[in-house]
Amino acid sequence: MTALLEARGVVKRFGGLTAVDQVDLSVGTGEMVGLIGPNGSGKTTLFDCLSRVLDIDAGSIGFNGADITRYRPHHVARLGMSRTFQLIRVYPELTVSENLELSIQWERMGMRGLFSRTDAATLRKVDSLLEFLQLARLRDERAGTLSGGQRRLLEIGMALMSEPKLVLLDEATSGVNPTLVADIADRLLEVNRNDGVAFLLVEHNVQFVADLCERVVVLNHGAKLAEGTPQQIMRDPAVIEAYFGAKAEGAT
Amino acid sequence: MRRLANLAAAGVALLALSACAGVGEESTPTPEAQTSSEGGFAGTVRIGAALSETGKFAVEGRDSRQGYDTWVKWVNEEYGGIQIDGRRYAAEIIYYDDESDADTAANLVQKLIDEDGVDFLLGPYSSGLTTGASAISEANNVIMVEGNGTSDTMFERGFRNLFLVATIASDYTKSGIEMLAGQGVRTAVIAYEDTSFPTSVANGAIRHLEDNGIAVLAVETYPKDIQDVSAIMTKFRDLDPDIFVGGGHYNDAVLFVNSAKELGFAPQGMLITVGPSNPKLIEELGEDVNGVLGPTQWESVMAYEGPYFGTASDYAGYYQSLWGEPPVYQAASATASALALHLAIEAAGSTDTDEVRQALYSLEADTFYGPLAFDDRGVNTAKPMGTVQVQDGRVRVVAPAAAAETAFTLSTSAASGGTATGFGVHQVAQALINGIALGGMYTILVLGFSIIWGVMGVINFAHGEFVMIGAYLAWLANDLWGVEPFLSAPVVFLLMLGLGYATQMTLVNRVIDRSHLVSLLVMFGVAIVLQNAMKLIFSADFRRTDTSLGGAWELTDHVTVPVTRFWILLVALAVTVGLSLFLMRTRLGKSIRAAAQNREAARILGVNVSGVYAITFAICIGLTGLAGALISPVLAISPFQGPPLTLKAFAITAMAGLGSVRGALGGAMVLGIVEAGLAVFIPQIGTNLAVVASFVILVAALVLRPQGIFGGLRPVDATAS
Amino acid sequence: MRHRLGQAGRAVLGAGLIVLAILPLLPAVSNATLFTLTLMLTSVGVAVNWNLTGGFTGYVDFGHAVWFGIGAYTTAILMSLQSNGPQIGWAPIPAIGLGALVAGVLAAAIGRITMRLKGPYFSIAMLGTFVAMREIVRVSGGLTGGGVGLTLPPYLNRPLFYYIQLVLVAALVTFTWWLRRTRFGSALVAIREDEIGAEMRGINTTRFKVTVFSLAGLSTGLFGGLWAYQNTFVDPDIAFVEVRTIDAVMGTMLGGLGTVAGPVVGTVALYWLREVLWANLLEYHLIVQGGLLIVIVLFIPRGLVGLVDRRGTSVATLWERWLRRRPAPEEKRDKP
Repeated sequence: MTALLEARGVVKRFGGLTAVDQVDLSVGTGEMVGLIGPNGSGKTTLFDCLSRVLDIDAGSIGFNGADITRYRPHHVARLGMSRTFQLIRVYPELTVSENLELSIQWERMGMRGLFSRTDAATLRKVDSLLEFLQLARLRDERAGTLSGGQRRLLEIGMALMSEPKLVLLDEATSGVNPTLVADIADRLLEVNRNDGVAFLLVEHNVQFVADLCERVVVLNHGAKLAEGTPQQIMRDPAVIEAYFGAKAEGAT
Repeated sequence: MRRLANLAAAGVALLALSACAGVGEESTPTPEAQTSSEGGFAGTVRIGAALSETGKFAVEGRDSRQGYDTWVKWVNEEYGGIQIDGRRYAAEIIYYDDESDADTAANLVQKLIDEDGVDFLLGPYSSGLTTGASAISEANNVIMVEGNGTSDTMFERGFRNLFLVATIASDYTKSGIEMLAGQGVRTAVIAYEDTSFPTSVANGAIRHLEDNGIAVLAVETYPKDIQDVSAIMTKFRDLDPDIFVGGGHYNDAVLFVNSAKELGFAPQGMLITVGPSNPKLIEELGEDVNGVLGPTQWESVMAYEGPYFGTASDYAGYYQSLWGEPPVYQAASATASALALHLAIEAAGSTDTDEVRQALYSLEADTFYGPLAFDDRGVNTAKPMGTVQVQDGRVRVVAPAAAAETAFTLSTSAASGGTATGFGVHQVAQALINGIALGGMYTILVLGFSIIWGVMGVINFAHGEFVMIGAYLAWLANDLWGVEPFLSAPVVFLLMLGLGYATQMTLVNRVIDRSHLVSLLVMFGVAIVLQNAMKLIFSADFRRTDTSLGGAWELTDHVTVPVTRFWILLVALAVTVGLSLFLMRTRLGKSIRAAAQNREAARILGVNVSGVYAITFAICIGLTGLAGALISPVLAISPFQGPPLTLKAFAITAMAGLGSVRGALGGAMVLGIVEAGLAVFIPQIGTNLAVVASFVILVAALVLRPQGIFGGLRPVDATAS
Repeated sequence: MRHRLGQAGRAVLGAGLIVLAILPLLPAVSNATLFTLTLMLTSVGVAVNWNLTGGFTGYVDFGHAVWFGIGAYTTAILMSLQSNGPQIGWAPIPAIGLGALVAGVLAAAIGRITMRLKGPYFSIAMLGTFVAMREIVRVSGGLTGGGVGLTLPPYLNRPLFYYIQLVLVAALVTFTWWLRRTRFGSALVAIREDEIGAEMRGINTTRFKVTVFSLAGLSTGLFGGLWAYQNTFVDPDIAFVEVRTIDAVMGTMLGGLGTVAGPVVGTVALYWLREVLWANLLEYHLIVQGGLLIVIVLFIPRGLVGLVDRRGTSVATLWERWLRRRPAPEEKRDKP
């Protein structure tokens, strides 16, 4: 079976600094993969490369059967990849509902769809997503007035609006109320099981990753350090050395 | 507090709006009738004119109006009214202010025809305004007689209602060139501003030169508001022509005479379109302008005479008695326009448009202004253009022979070497020298702008205006006390330091944390205010400071170093080095760099960021004023010299990296050399292209290398994604 | 989308339109007044177009008048075509139409390059485009008549031109009102709000912003062609005038950036104010105008429309909040 996302030898440099160094990474259809690593290990940069926000200096990226190494981000989105951002990117001056309405599959709607108002089907979907994310009462609030956690949820909702095959979640739990974190995990699993959506998660919250993912990739200094099941990873001495350090016990 | 400010602003806006409602339709300036009908007249002939009371043609507009009013006064009080069919009619002119704007002039002519029901029209000032206005009068079949819009294009449209008493633009240089040909002149070069009127003059000049067997060695054009013609003069010097023909506007005359002197270009004669007939030029340039020739429509010393107003000097006396000043030719042209209309009405014995038009076509008269006779275009071809020469600090009429005051003299100064043609090493060397000199000026001009942007993130759109104020300060010191600009520069620096501090405290502080657009627009507002305030104080006339560090050093026959620019370059280098050391070595400099790199971190580390900003802004404005003082002997000083300088500063900064001192030097040199190279090596349109060069470089640099070439205090983050 | 010109606003606009439509029929209204109003309508049209890129999409264009000049020149070139003397010029309608088209196509081509830049870089690159285009027109003497310019056959029917402009401006405002309510219009606002986010969520930002940019260019080119025909002559310095851009920016700012009614209200107010300033302040009027710009930007960033519409959720408030944000480079610099 070919992987949904297949990155080979990805290199990204900023001036003299190599932020991502020869990383191979694959995500299968419907798979949930975690991407962890210490601060500054290049996780977000790798995300930016995979979602084509950044151009890569070497390597190739394949997605859904296409070589997307030179694609623009909206092409990637059309193929079924969506993402969230570590620094939340919502449209602050638009309402919550509008934010979701604008996160649809643009290429599929054609000129008529483009030059008309949001259709009823999309609005129904928006409402059900808002219900699902428990944001329904904030439907007509401006996104900029929401709390950090609420904006995270909104951003996840925006990533799910376009019926993606793969969602890249960058720190989906940071700033979110701990009681909500478990909720988010449940919902992600629900989407994963019901719709077969694959997830690639960058997380600080290792427990969250361990609960959700069958496979975890560890980055250190921009290079891949280890890969395996959460249990394997937690036992890997190199990972403990680099990532968990002396506080290995405490961290898990 | 904010709410209060909002309310106050809203109140102001509403007040202004209600004032509008109150004034309503009457808000346009009310017509002022100039009439003195004290009975005895059978009626009134109503004539309309749009004239510039405000805007860039305010002075010429006033002269024209005084010219028209001279005729009104004379015809009503001295002559006894216009005679039609044995009855006498009073003359009345209705004026509106066209604000020196072509759309407004056209609009007002429409208004004069529709609302005021005028019988005839007199022209506005300038070709640009007359072109639009005459189309309206043509479409409405109302005759317009004018004397102050002479571009040929207007008379190539087949209009039947437009008449020009003055000499048409293409004949401006005719009498001068004929006279020069008679003195054995064989070769000529031409440079002109590529706008409507100068192009008409230059095309005519080329024709007259060829008709008189004078070879045209080169033709160069340059854009409006040019500040530097040294490249053109370099090219011309190498061709070693007998005479130079050039011009566009008054300022260009200043530039040509200065630049020729600076580069050692000394033809036997310089014929400059606009400027030499204006005594201000002598005041401005002193003896440098001696020998320069120029055309004139009319001078009071000319030997013209007619049954109305008497001789030219009689007219001048009458004019003087009315207005307390001697008439300039614009005023005389205006009076002559009205007089031509007057004579045609009397000859027609009617105010019917068709009959008066016929009378104008068949009019032949001698007047104080010269002979009048219109050809089928409506152009007075009977009056030749006069030529004046500056002799011993006075403007003297030297041609045509019939009107001449004195004989003219060709300059005997030995021209430099023989003719050097083609592409030579000397040209490359000269282009490089010009480019480096230009780069030196750009360096000192751009430093303040670059550092303000780099440190504070504020794009100072009023940068050029601060240069301008510095230049005016140096000019004041130079004009009042004769202080050398290189000596007054440090004082200007200190004064501008204070102005910068005040600006920072009142305005810039409010925009630092806001989006770029806010600082752009606020500083743009500051620029508009400063330009117009300076114009109120100093008028729009072009100024220049005198320096003893002038002239040119001759390296070889065809390679010279302009002395003033050389010294500017030296000061620029010294300032650059000093500024670098200041930023790298001193505590304050390090604080400034820290604040530029990361404001929050700097604050945490105990840097007083707002204090640093205030000092940075003050120092940069001081430097900018210093730059203005330094370039004041080279670039013409005017209230509106700023915007092109701001744009160049922007181009260099974006190319070089924000706040990079080294980058400012490098970028300025690159731009200077590119501009000088284009201007020297591209024939005819090289100077036009040099204007565009900075923008092409800017866009190319931003698109290809958004982080800038030389690095800087903060990254240039120019591309969208 | 939920933003619309509330009921009252629409009633005022409708009533205004009716008044403007019957104005030429009143005996007291002269051709000169119509001419003034026509010039004002031209400015309104240009401001509405400017607002499409500057207000909705967030790309502040300091050289928008270049499309006006291109439209004017194309029209003038076509209408004054000569072959060995006799005029074989085009009729006005196809000439003006092609003028608009040329402006639109050139805007698309140039926008593809300049819209890769953002913030002040885009603004200044467009200003550079404007200055460069004026010089290109000036040195292409064979086609454009160089610095002398071109003259057109004079045809002056003020009421006709007035009605044409009135219909055009009304159609244009209706178009922007409609466009703002479509998904396309919302996508433009999304680009202004967060371009990278919009791109990642499937919006082909380049295509969208270049499309709206060339639409604005086309429409401004149309007004340029009409102006050339009415003005009966063009030369580089009257066809390419900075003031047209400045008026568009000031009118839109005064009325309310990024709102449908803002450029209309603001430009009309600007014309009114100017008349008052002219009449009462004469040589001081430009100083006052510059000061006014500073006051508007600093103290009433939401413009006149924002003053009337105090509801927090309206698009009229976007601008104000947008201004408060830090400049983009600093937001993005904490990575990698």
